[in-house]
Amino acid sequence: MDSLRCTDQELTALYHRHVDTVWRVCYSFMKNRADTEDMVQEAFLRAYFQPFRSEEHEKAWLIVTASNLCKDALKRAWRRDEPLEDHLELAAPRRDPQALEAVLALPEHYKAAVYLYYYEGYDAKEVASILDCPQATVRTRLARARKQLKQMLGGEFE
Amino acid sequence: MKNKEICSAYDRILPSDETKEKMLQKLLAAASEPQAERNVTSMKRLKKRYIVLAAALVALALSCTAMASGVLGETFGLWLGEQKVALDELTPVAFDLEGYLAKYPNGISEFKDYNSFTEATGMTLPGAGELQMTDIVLDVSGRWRTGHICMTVGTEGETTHMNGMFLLEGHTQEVYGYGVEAVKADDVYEYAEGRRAYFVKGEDGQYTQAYFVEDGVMFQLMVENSRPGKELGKRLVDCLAGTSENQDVPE
Repeated sequence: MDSLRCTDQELTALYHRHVDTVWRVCYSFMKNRADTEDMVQEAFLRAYFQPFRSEEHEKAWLIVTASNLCKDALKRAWRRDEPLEDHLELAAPRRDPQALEAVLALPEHYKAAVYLYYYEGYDAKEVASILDCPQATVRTRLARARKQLKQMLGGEFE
Repeated sequence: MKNKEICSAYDRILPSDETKEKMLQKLLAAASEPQAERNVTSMKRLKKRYIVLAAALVALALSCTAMASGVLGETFGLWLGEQKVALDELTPVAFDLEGYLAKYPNGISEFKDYNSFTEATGMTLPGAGELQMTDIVLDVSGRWRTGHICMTVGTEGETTHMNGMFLLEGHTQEVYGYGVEAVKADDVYEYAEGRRAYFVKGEDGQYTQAYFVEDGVMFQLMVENSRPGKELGKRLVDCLAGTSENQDVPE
């Protein structure tokens, strides 16, 4: 098993390539920084032993793994929620957090599909392939998520 | 199809470069540790190990989900679906945080029994005189000023698993609590001065969790979803409340 491990340099490079992606995914589930940090670390530790075919493969693998880790964590007994404002470490001026709240409020089973489709720009077929589910399921999830986002964002979301 | 609003929302939650660097250092440190050592570096892994050891907790954990409210200004609570149940408000417990963190810098520790636990923490637990509390795992956050505890608790030869959470002086988090998807409690046990323990059936129907607050600790007790299991749960609640001698224990 150890032979499959990547070196520290490789792990560092992997981390830098995907930490933002993995963080976005984990935060959208966990909604607090402390749990997100745990999930991000766990996802990369698992990637440490994983052989990847390509950068795209490792990215897709990390997104799915991170989503599953978060879903499992949320099933456990406790967690913490913290005020959103405490965790917006942005250099840019603060903007209306409505879209962010709407995204975080989406049901768990929509989140990965919404992230892959609307943030990463994958099409429904690619999302279905990454999430290993039928295209119809992805389209249904996206449609329902879109409906919820429209409601929360005042019908302006497309 | 990218969406500008969604992209902007996701980008807003990114951590600072400094945070990312700290996470990387922790990751590299964790990756360099042998697997066995890594298993004790995270409370989540510790909890996972305990979950594996306690089949009851596995089944119950699957029936639990997180409370996810964005409401500010709330304190600890029990959420049954969308409804918050009124439990005793949690007040910070007596705890030797400085001494504890000096000995356990990452906040995580294991104790064989109650005596070693209370010696290391300065914290007392209700019912310790009557109950056997063993295999205690403690996770205290100096940053968030909160504590989580897992243990095996027993009385009269019967044991089960119990979790608890509590606040320390200086606690600042706004929202915190247990949440379950059950729409309503399966049973509400009034045990002393109108205080209540809420018994909530797990999704698989095999186990029941009892939620209640005593001495500033919010407990989550796991028992089998059977009459004897619930009776054990009620006896344990009585012991933790110090009212076991005054209660009629169901036959």
